[in-house]
Amino acid sequence: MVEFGIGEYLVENFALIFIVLSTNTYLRHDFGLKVVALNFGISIFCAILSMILEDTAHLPLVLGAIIIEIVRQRKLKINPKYVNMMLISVIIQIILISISGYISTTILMWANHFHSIKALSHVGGILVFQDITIDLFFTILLFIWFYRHRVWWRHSMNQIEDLGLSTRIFWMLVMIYGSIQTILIISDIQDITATIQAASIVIFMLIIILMSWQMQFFIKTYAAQQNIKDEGIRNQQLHDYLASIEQQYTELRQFKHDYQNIMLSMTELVKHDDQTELQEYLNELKNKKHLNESLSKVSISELDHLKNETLRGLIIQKFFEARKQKVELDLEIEQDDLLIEKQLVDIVRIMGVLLDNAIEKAEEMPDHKVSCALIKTDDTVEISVENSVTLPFNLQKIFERGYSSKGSNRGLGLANVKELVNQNTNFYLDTQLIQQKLRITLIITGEK
Amino acid sequence: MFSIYLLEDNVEQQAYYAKVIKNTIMINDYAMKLVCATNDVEKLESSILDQEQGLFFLDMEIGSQTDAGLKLASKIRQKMPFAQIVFITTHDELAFLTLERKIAPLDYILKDKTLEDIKSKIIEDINLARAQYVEALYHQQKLFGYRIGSRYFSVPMNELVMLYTVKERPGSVTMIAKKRQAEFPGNLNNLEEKYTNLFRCDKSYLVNLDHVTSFDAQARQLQFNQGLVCKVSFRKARDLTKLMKDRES
Repeated sequence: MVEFGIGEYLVENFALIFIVLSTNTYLRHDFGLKVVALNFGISIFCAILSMILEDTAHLPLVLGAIIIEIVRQRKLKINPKYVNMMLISVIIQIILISISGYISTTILMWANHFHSIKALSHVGGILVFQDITIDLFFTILLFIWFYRHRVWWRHSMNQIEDLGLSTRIFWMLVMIYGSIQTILIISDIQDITATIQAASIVIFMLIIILMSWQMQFFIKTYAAQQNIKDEGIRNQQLHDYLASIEQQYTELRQFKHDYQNIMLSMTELVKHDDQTELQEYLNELKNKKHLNESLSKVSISELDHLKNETLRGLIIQKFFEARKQKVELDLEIEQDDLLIEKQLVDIVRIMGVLLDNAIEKAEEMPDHKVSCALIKTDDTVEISVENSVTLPFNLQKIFERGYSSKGSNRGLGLANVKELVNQNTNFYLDTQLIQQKLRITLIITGEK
Repeated sequence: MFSIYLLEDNVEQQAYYAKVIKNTIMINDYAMKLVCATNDVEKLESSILDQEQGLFFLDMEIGSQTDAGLKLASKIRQKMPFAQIVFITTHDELAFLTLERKIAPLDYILKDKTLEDIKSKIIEDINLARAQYVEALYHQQKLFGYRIGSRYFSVPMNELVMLYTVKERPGSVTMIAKKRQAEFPGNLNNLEEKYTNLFRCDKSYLVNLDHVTSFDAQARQLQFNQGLVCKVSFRKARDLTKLMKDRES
């Protein structure tokens, strides 16, 4: 084994933990001066801590991430999305540093014509420096790879969350982390030669690759299965919808029937030139319920103008969810055919959250109404969702994480909308308060 | 002279509305004039005077064209950003939210109500339009305008609180107004040049000092209504202290 001095040991651990934290920040897309400074501080602290923890130097990071999430989400059964990212960063870094370690040992032994690893202790400083450089090189390669695949990465993250697989993935990652940690600890205690340790890590890596591949397959199957389930529900909803339209048609026919009768009688009266009776009839007609009431509008009748299957599915689903809560969802699509081609996944997510929030709020408002409009002018699409709110209303606060007018744990939705909008440079949010109504509009530019 | 325009394809109704409008002007002795009452979209369009303001009563459905009023309203908005538009229509044809976003009309007059109701609505709208016109005349109302894609938006300058940028969204500016919060593509340097009444208190903030509730010179912090705060850069703090003093006196 190579023996390091305390200084080298500290520097190496500090660098490793800093790289882990940076990877984690990178995966979470919140790079900034403050975050980097915070990472720096944590890294120093954890490096000192690692003097005691030795091989398990990364454990405080994982535990820390779990504790932070528990505090942030204010419950024990957390949504482990961010913990998963930390676990992934840790596992990736353990593997990368092991590989860099072997590469740099080999290079140094070859360059200095050493014959035993023990001899490397003399050049500990160079070794540490070289380790970190190679590791950084790999990490930067990884960053570039992630940057190229960021859309894919985000979508799989969203998919995992949508399908409720986060917890499963969490346990899987914990097991991988646990086993890799065990290999490291045991090989250290038993003084296993680097070659064998390298072999076990390589085998382990292969297993991880196989597992991730299987996992992806599993997610795909699971998503397909979920889709079929949703399809069934949608069919049922569509059926209900058709039934309600039929009901309206019957009402309309009834009205037409009445109307024809009235016309006939009036023609008779006019023929006999009976002014007083005609006047009476006219008065009676004015009081007829059907004539004074506006037609009960088929509130999503314009849905057919929307040419996107997914968006249509979403609106039908929300329409029925709203109806269940006794909320009327009113849809306006002025254009005859409206097709949104790009960034549909994010648009559907944003619209889903906006409608959910509006419906939830409308439930407790006296008007029980949510309006939604899709408007396209040239290459700009606007999606507006409007509902009543109780005054006074603080417009600035609604997008803050954790804020909700309905108590804790509910404010995540709009904060997520903000995040999604920030990730798409051609999305813009416009929030207005008009008298008692809150209207949130997503504006999308560059749609042809 | 403030101009009023009327578009309605039913001749009797048109005559009735015109009478109501004329009477209201006469009784109150307003400096207003019914410039045009017609059933023809093109006629109305050509009669529009080159003025900043005007009140339009538009029937939504002309003949068989169900969206004639809406199309005309879009054109009027482009020509005359301050125009006040009132739609006269039956309830069923209305897509309220779409209209609000595209036209932002002053009011709707629903035809399914009685004639008496319609009359009082018209009078109410004339009074409202006049009040806003007078207000604008006195205060030289300015607009803050921005563009997203092919859409133009504007907010009265006296409602604008601040503009700022965040590092998560380069190339995009966030606007906070009294009852509106919006993002649009742009940069603060250009906006600072264009709207000289706004104060650049930091590299990422451009603020309307009319909405400041207090300035803490020690902490270099500006306080606005609704709990909004913004940092003032060291360099600008001195200018600001001076400016605030000038304002007080």
